[in-house]
Amino acid sequence: MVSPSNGMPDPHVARVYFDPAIAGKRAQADGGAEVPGTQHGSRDSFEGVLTGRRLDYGDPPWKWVELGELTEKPVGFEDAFVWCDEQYVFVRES
Amino acid sequence: MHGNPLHTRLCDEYGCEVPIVAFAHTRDVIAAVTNAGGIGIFGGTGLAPDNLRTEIQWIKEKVGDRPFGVDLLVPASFVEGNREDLEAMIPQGHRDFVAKLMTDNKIPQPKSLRGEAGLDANLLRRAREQLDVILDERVPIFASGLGSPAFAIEAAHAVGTKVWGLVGLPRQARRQVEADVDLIVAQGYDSGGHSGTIGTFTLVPEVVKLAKGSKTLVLAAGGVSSGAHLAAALAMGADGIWTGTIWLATHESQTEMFLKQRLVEAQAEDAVQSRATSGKPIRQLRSNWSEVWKQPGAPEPLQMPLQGMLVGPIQTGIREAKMEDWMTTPAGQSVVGIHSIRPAAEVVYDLVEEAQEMFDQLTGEPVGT
Repeated sequence: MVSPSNGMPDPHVARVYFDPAIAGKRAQADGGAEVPGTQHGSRDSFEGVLTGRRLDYGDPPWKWVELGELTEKPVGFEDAFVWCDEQYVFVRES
Repeated sequence: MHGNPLHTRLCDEYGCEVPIVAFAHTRDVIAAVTNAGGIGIFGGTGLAPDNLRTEIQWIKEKVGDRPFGVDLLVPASFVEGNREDLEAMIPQGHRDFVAKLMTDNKIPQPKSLRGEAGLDANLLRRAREQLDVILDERVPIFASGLGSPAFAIEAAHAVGTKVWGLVGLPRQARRQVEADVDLIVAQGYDSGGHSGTIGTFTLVPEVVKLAKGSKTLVLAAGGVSSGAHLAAALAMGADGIWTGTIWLATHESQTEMFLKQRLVEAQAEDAVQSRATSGKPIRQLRSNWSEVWKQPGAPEPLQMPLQGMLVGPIQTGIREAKMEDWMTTPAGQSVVGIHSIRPAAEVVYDLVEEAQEMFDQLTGEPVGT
């Protein structure tokens, strides 16, 4: 995603790794992002299964988890997977 | 009643004189509200880091040591993947509808095309670069208008910046309290832009309850436009109010004059939700644009980002030709509280005076000032 190119530490570097402790858990997520071309955000709800992939972005890390097998998603959402901020991911079963 | 109910923890902790927070995309509004005793929060989304820095430095020069902040639409989700095939997903019927709109209404072809559509592949990088500017400039407040700001708390607190988060659901508020966010904006359904699903009167007391006993303050948002709302927000346990729509029609706002006039004339029901611009529902002032997509025979707006790709050129044409009846501005139901175009400071003073009157009426005696 992003990597250092000039030999200096990159505060924006991303690390993707697998976390078996969360893999397979069903979860809801309150997602959303800026609407392109506007100064507004959209709120999107997702429900699915955590794949176990984690992404830590920058330092201190901004923590993301990947959701797949989506059973709830915005109308017209075509992707099979979505990265969600872990802060707004709510695990439904242990 | 003892003391001044309008002097809240927000005033104590941030040094503002009144518990009124103004969100605006115009820096002049931010400076005016802050200098009038409130707190201005500048909407910095969409600005390149260098431009954001310029705006921040201008505001700092105008407000000195008074409290102000910058709001970013921090993402809460994103997708990876190739978007090149999206154009092919726009149905011909939708293209024909837009082409007919242009012909029938003499909407000119745009002279320039902005990047209306597509997703930013570097969403995280951009958000973090903007945040770096905010912290580098030691802005007193960083507000996240969408996703959780928890990732930024450590770095922000290290430079003395307070961290605020805007929520539409109690469970989001719970997470933010747990993360030690400094302040939560509980924004109800009646707000402008892309609002949540829970009404302000339901959401605010829930969030206040969740924050009780913590260091986290709470602001009420959504439909807030008068001193009565301010008094009600404080009565619900909030530490102040977060307002947006009411600043659009102030002298300092960069909103076009004809839109300011329409804001003055608008009723609450004129703040309509429409998906016609981006594919996502955005509460905005009613216009020919929002209405034409509801006419018999009009297709359903497409989903994001297809709708933005479809209508980007026609919307640019409308803006360039300044076709007033077709232009709009995001606005919440609090538009009903806008009665004239006036200085932002006057709006602040009137909110305070009205709230004071409400408290006087409730107690039957003048309350502390």
